[in-house]
Amino acid sequence: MTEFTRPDGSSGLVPTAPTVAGGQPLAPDAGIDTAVGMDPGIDSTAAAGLELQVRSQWSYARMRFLRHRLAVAGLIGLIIIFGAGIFANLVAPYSYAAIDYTNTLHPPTTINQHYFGTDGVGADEFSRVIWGIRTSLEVGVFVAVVSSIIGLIIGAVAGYFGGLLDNLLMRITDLVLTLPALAILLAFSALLGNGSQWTISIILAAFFWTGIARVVRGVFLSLREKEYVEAAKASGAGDARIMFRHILPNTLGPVIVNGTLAVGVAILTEAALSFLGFGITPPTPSLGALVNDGQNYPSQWWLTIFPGLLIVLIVLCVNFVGDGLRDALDPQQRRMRA
Amino acid sequence: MPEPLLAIEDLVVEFRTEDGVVHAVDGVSYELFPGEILGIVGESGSGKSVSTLALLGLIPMPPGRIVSGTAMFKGRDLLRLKKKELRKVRGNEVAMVFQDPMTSLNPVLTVGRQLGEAIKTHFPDQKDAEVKQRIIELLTLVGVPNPATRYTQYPHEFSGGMRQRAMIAMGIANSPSLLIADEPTTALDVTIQAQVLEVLKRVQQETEAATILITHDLGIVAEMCDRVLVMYAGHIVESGTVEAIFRSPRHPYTIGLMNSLPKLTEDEEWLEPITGAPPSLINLPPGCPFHPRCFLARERCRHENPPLAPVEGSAHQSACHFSEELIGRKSKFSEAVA
Amino acid sequence: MLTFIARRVLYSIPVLIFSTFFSFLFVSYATNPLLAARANPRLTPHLLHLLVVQNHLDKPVVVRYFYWVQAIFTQKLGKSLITLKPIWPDITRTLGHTAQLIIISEVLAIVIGVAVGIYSAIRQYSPFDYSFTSISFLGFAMPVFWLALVLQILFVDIYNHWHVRVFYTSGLNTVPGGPAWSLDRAQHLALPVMTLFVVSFALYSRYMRASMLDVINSDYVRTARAKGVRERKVVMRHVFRNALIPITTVAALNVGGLLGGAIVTETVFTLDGMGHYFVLALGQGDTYEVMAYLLVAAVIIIVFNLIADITYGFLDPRIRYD
Repeated sequence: MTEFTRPDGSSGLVPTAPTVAGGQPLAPDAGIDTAVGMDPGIDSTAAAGLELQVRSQWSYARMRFLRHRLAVAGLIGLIIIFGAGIFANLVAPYSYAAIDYTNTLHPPTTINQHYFGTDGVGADEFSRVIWGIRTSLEVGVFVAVVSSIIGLIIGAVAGYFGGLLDNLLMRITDLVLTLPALAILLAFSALLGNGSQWTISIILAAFFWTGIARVVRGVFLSLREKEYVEAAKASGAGDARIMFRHILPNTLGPVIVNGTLAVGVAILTEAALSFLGFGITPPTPSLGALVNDGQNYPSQWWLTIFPGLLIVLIVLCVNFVGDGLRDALDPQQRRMRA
Repeated sequence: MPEPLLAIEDLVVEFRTEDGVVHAVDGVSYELFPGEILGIVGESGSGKSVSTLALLGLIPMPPGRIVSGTAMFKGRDLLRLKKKELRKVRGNEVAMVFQDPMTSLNPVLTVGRQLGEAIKTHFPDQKDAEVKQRIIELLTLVGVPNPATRYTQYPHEFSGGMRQRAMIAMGIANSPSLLIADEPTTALDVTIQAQVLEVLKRVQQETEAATILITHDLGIVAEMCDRVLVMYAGHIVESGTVEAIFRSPRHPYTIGLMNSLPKLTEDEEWLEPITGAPPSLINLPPGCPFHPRCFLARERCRHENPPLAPVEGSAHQSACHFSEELIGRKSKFSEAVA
Repeated sequence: MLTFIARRVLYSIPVLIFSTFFSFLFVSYATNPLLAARANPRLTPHLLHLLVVQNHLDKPVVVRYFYWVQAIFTQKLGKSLITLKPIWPDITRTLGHTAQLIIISEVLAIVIGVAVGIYSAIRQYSPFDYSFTSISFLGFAMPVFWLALVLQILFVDIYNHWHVRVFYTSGLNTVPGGPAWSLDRAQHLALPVMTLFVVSFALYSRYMRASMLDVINSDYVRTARAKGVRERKVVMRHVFRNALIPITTVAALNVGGLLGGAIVTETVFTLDGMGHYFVLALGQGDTYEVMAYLLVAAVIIIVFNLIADITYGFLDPRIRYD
């Protein structure tokens, strides 16, 4: 509370002004946006009528995410599916290569837990799919994480330093973008690959970083103009590290969203490569390779449908989660939901 | 007393958002007489724009809702008109000029085409050559040089000031009886501001249209307007002639607004902003919306919302319980106006 | 406008050179055609030596690159090292087939996708919108090869059950020529086109919807409404044209994905297209055939990017006079 003097000479008290992030007015513009929605980093005030809710940026994002029913459903789906993959040795009744010539090409049944049927050598399709899920999970996460890190670093360097370095790095990204993606990846994996999932993962990561690098670079470029001026004024000797403290967090949103969606794309791509025979080869399980195997038995639909269906489900859930994350983390909320 | 051209009674507009209901306009009533320039002054979020957008039905209706109120214009209630009827009024009898001319003009259509659209929408039988002639006349009136060439150009080829002039030309194309200018100069440089205001004044004199000029700049109000409404948190807190209000403001908010402007003719040690921050329109404080920041605030203000009541004769009105205490209190501008 | 185009074309040339150079480096390193050639029983040591000299296989990679570039123009892409067949006729034939597949599915995807996107945006949150949003999500999650297989299996089953050949599930033609040829080709291409259509459709409908929603809430649309323009005209004249602009970029970026999809689709349906050709060449490690595909693919992408740039300039006057 602060003191003031009234016209009649008496003194009174008035509530102290609440701290407002960045000096921004709390009220919306033209009444279209909401007061609270635009600036999540607001401190709480005690004064009556100024009851804004305390929200840190992350809890606000989490709240937005949970409001997305599809995103939540996707998350639950992923937990179930990936959980099965992680604990494959507990979940799968058989190992990937267990063969049984007495029971080949059996349609799906509950006998002997062959929920997805058996294939040409009697191996249990359900187990093989579970093992395949684990591989897909490993590939997807690896590619997403590694490509995001590489992309973040390169994009930051390019956007922050600008000039020749930026030019060079962007020319490389452009180059990668002008090549037919699958063809190049096919060429790389065909000619360099040895059937190992890690080789494929590295090849994919080496390709995927370009997407996120562009986005990160964009953020750095635009914020460098703004924050630079403020930082230079406020702290005199603006430390480069300060800039990374301020600008970098702003890139985390797009990086997280992009990384999440990259999991899906990586899984799809690896599946395509493996399907064509150039990706992951046995004995390492792969959903794409399973579909390829199934191709030899067109009448035994369960051999192609189930592995592919799992791919669809995984990528669908990943996309739902990614969509929810995008809504939760994207600060550009201009549209109102009814 | 002449008949009011526009009579708004108890207008309430709200927006449904994820965080709650935003009370953008909370019971606004005023009248507008033919040929006068009425200024509406307030901060962002005061509801000044929303109240006029509501007249033309330009508020996005899924989140927005006109809860109650009437707006009598030439014997008809604008808020109750059917879509088809309202469309006939827009751009014809009531026209609007918006704030940011860069985003308010379609970038892919020529300026001539857009101006022509304003005319042809309401007078489809007009011959193209006549319409073009009229547009060139309008462009000349607003002071756009080389109107014949400019006619075929795109908005991005115009400077900011020229774009706004073109917007004004578009507004008066059909000689409206009411022209609403929503912060027409806010997005422009100061020197250009003066030019555009000059154009507005000239246009108003030529067409004798009643004009509502929305702004947050008291200086513009002083220069251009006959009467002024001061809005805060969706309410009108003071209304009267420019002279009366500047000479003896009768609402603490108005006084605060005026005092927060730096005085150019004297040295000042400290600027005097209004303490506190604008309120959340979702959680409006009980009683008077301004009381948390008001130096006159008392117990009564916390409970009772003061109605707009006449102060000195019916023309000057203020929504404050203790407006009498402000009699004799001068603002920085008092000497200037007297 | 012409300088705009000329500049874009000029810029494409170094890009083409760079991408082909690096591809050549990589492919040459990764393949060893001599290995396969030596295994070929029809090649006597003398012919082998001739092969080496003719193709400069004894020279360093960079030099070989230049010879390869020269061969593009003078010898029409040269000959395969393994089959010794000239490459050019194969490429042109397969390119023609792939072009049919790609162009038909892309045109359908754009036209239908844009239309659905527009309607979804206008009727946001309606059942139409929700169902097509779901379809789009499915489209994004669908592996192309799997969809192709599913369709294939489905129609093979239909044929086996009811003995009615609705669509063909492999090959390009069953009827050699004559009046029934077009219908026959259509029947063969139907499933592949459907496969490629789905993913592209999802892309265009989502982007168009997002773009429309973005534009519908913009200031100049509000201005148009404030002028009293009828809503339908607002959408067609103001919203649609502006919303279409980002779609050209999306279409340009999609060409690479289309080629990839073609690779997979042609493999599943055993179509005599460029993608299938590429996969076979990769399997055999045939340097020049692989390079030929990459070159043609890169040119296709560059050409389509150019078309997109020009269309963009046509739609958006702001970037015309670059």
